[in-house]
Parts: sequence; C-alpha cells; structure tokens
Amino acid sequence: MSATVCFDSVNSPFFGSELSFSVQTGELAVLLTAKEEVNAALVRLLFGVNLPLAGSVSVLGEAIASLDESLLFRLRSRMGLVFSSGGLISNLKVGENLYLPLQYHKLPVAEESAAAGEAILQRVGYRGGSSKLPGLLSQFEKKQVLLARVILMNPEVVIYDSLLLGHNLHERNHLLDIAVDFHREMADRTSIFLSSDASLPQLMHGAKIIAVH
Amino acid sequence: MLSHLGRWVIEQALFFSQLLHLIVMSVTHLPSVIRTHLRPVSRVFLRQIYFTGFESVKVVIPVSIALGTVIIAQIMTLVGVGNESLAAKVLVWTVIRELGPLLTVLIVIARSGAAIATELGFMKINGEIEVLEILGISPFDYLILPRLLGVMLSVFVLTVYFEIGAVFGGFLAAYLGWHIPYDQFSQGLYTALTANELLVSVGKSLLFGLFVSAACCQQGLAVGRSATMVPQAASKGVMHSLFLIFILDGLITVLTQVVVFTRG
Repeated sequence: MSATVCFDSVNSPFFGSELSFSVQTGELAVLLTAKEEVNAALVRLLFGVNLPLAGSVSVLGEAIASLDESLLFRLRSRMGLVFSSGGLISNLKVGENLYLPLQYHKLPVAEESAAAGEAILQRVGYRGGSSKLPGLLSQFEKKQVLLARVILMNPEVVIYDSLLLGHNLHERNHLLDIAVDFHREMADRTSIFLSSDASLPQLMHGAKIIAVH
Repeated sequence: MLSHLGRWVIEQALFFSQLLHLIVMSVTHLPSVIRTHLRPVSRVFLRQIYFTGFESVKVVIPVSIALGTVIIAQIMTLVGVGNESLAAKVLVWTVIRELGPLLTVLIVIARSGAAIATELGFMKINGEIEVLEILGISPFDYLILPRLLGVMLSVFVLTVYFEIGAVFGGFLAAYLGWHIPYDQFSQGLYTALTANELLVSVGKSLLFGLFVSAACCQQGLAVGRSATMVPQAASKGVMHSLFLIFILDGLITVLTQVVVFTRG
C-alpha cells in the first residue's frame, strides 16, 4: 500500500515540534491534536492553502508545494472535507451547495438529478428541505449537508475536521456511523479524522491513531 | 506635501495596476471557464444580470425620461421656436455621448457597487472564499469573472434603455410644450445620431461597467478579518468607481476628439 497522505518533517507555528506521519491508501486514521486551532492548521496544510515553514506535504502522490494553481485545484477536486464550522456558501440554497463542486468539476455521478441529491440527504438524515439557506440551518443540519456533499463528490481522500464537536451523543453517533460506512464503501478511500477529543479513538475501532503534539 | 502627493500617486498606480491585472485575468480565464465550468459560473452571471440589470430598469427609465424632458425644456428656452432640429441634435450629443453612459453607471454604482463589495467582503470574513478554494473552485472564476461580465453587460443594456428613454422624454416635452411634431423632432435626431456617436456610447458603457465591477470586487476581496472593514470596502469601492469613470470618460472623450481631428 502506498502513502496517500504524507507529512515529512513539517514545521508549523501550531506544532510544538516537527510533524511526520503517513496514512496509507484505504486507511482510516485519527489525528489527535491538542486543540482545534491545530486542526484548522492541518486542514490548510493538507489542502495547500498554506505551505509549511519547512518539510513537505504530499497527498495522492502529489507534493503540494510543487503544484501550480490549476493542478492544486484539480487535486482538491479529488479530496473532500467536512468542515468543523461553516463550509457552506451562505447565498446558495442547500441543494445548490450540494451540487456546486460536482457541477464545477463535472465529477461523474450516477444521476445528477434532484432525486439523487434528495436520496443522499435522506441517507444522512437531513429533513430540512433543499431550498433552505444555510443561515436557517442548525449546526447538526449543516454537518449533515456537508457530509451529503462529500458523499456526492465521492472523493479518494476525506478529511473530517472536528466532526463530533458541538453535538450531543445521539448526533455524534449518527455522524460517526455515516462517516465510517462511507469510508467502507470504497476500498481505496482514505479517511482522516482531525480531532482534539481524546475520547474519539475509543469510538473508532481499528483506526490508526496519530498523536500531533 | 510632496511626499504625500508621491505616496498618493504610488497608491493610485498600484490600485490601477491591480485593477488591470484583474481585468486581464478575466480575459485570459474566460475561454477555459466557458469550456470547463460554464454551468455553475453562468448561474452567478445570470444572477448578477438580474440584480444589476433587470432590477435597475425601474430606476433608469424614469430618470432618463425626466432627463430628456429637462434637456429639451432648457434647450427650447434657450434657442426658441424654429430651431427644433437643433434641440434634438443637442439632446443626442449630450445624452448619447456623455450623460447616457455616465448617469447609467452612476445608478449602477449606487445600487450594485456597494452591494458587490459588501457581499464579497462578508464572504471573505466568513471564510467562504477559503471554502471555495478548498473545494477546488477558483474564487476568481466563480465569483469575480461572472460579476465583471454581468455588470458590464448590464451597464451596456441599461445605457441603451437610458438613451431611448431620454429621447422619448425629450420628444414628450417638445410635443406637449412646444407642439413639435415627431417628423420635425426626428430630423435633428437622425442627423446627429451617427455611427461614431453610438460607438463612443457603447465603448463608454462597456468600459465603465468593467472597471466599476473590477474596483468593487477588488475592494470586497481586500477585506481583512474585521467586520468593520466591510462597510469601508463598500465605501472605497464606490469612491474608486466614481473616480475611475470620470477619468475614463475624460480619456475616451479626448481620444475620440483626437481620432476625429486626425481623420480631418
């Protein structure tokens, strides 16, 4: 198995020391951090929004720092992110947010239709209606829509940034079940959970645990 | 004082070069956007046309009719009866050449300029620009380019409506006030309405729309992390737009006069 995500001696103001780890193709990993700020920094490094002060980050075999803008955007279309907060475009309705990356990247989907989108929203348990604006959604509903969008994109790498933060026990179990089921649907899908919640590893049996100090 | 002036000149030069960079990028990105991302980008483009163009019609038409009425009334008071074709000519020269594009874009700046800068500013503060980048969507291709094209096209079409409205208003004033029949009024109109006049009007409206939208987009994206910067960005967008259109108007007018002069 090759490394899908690789941090090699990465130096950032948010880490106490150099960070090196790798996540193999098809693995489910938990990056346990000290605080949410570190998660946000890791997301920026993984998606090439920021470059590390030293070291290298590579995703799907591509060294992030060596990619020009168009190649970086193309790489990002193969990755999915469930944001810890926000993540939806405020002037687009739920349905429009759902399909935006699909339409932009012309990603293959079995049926790009309202029915397909509705089916995935039902799968994640969202009952709010696809014509609502994000500002009217609860935090849980927003997380459900973000999950639905990632499922629709069907990416090779999925990053979950503080998936369970701010939710009650029932909601946490619901979100985790969907995320793990989605990971298992594709053998080559790599899923990484970023979290500062020390109890998360106990809920993720068989996951690779990487501590980020 | 010299150092202040120098600093101001450098700031304006930097601002103008950033604007030109934005406009050049839009031209170079347009073919690839049409080829690969047409559907989502065209939705933003149509939304912009609706907000800037369609919703401004109810302001542009009454203003243009009123302006045409005022111009003809003032001219007829000056030149008196017997010079009706001259009145129509002056109407064409003032409205088609200058006031049509200028007043139209002023209405657009007031309605849409601040709104564009504010919307983009809040998107920046709420992290939505970063969300788009992480989704692999170029904020320039998805947010800026359709706004530039939408506002440019809207200003052009609104200018046409404005000029038609002004001519109509002028004829109304001439007919109701001085009983000038249409064939007499139109004689001066069609004499003055040359291809050059229309070309200048089209050129001005397109350039005004392009630079105004670029200035407001640039200010919106330049917002930092504080919410207080959003109204500042809106205000700067409007002020820069006003500055730009008067400079552009002067430049185009001088250029057209030079072209006409050299042609003989």
